[in-house]
Amino acid sequence: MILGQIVLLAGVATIAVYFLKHRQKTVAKALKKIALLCFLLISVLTIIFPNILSQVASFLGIGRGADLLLYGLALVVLFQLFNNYMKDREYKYETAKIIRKLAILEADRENGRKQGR
Amino acid sequence: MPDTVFLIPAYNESSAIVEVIHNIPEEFDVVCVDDGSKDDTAAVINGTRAQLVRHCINLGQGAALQTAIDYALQDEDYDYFVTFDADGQHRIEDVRSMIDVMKSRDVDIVLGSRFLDDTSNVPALKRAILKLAVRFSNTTSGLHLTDTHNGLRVMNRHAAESMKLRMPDFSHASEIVTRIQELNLKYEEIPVTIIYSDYSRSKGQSVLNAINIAFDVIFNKVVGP
Repeated sequence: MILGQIVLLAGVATIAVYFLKHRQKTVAKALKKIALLCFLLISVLTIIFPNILSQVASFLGIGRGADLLLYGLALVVLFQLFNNYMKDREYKYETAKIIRKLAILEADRENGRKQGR
Repeated sequence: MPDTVFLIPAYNESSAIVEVIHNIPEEFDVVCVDDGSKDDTAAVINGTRAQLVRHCINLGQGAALQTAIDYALQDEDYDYFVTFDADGQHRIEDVRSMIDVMKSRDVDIVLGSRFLDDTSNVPALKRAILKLAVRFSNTTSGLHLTDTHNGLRVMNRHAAESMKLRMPDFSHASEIVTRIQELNLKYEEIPVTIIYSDYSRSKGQSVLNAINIAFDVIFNKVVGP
C-alpha cells in the first residue's frame, strides 16, 4: 500500500471515530477549530507556494498535486456531510421539544376552559 | 373519570377523524394531536369530545405520539394509554381485550399483532415488507415479536413515562421496541384485526419507508440517540 492510501484511510477512520466517540464534547469543538485553522493555513500556503502540493503528493505517492487536493476535499466533504446530518438531527429533536411544550401549554389552557377545569 | 385514554396522532385526517372519535365509547377519554395539518383537522377535532393538542408545524407521527403521551400523563387518573391510528383501521373490541390482558396480567405494554392470526387482510407487498421488518427488528432488539409496526398498543403509566420518543417520524415504532428491550418492560402480543379500507390504504405509509426506518435503527445502534 502506498503512503498516500494509508494517510487517506487514516483520515476516513478519524472522521468515523470522531462521530462515534467525541461528538458534542469540548474536545470535539476544539478539534474542529484546530482543523479549520489548519485548513486555512494550508490553503494560504498552497496559494503562495503552489509547488508544495505536488511535492507532498509525490512524497505520499499520490501523483499530481491536483489529485491530493481532490482527495483532501473529499475528506472535508465527508466530514461536513456527517457533521450536518448530526446537527440536523439534534436541531429537529430540539424543535420538537419546543413545539411540544408550546402545544401542551396551549392545550391545557383551551381544554381546561372547555371542560371548566 | 375514565382510567383509559386513547392517544391519536392526526395529520391531514379531517375526512376520517370524526367517525374514529365517535366510534370510541364514552368510557374512554381521547387525546388527539393535530400534527400541523394543512387541512381543517384541528377544527374538526375541536367539534368532538376529544381533547385537542396542536403542533403549529408538522413534526411527524412519532413526535405527535410523544406529545399525546406527555399531555395525557399530566392527568393522574389515567392508568392505561392506548395508541390508536387516526384512519379508522383499529377496532375497539381489540382495545378492550388488550386492556383485559393488561389488567389481569403483570405486563407494562400490550402490543397488537396482525400476524398472530389471519384475520387482517394485509396486502401482499406490505405483508412481505412487514415480515422482513419484524425479522430485522427481532435481530437488532433480541425480542420475539410478530408485528413491530402495528399502531395499536396499550401501555401502563410506567411504560408511557419511559417512552420518551426521539425519532420524529415513522421510526418511532422501532424506538418503542428499543425501549421495551432497554428498560426490560414486560410485554405481550395480542392478535388484532386491522381494517384495510381504501382510505387507510391511501393514508398508509409507503413501503419504501422501510428503508428509512432500517437506516434510523442501524444509525441509532452505531451512533447512539
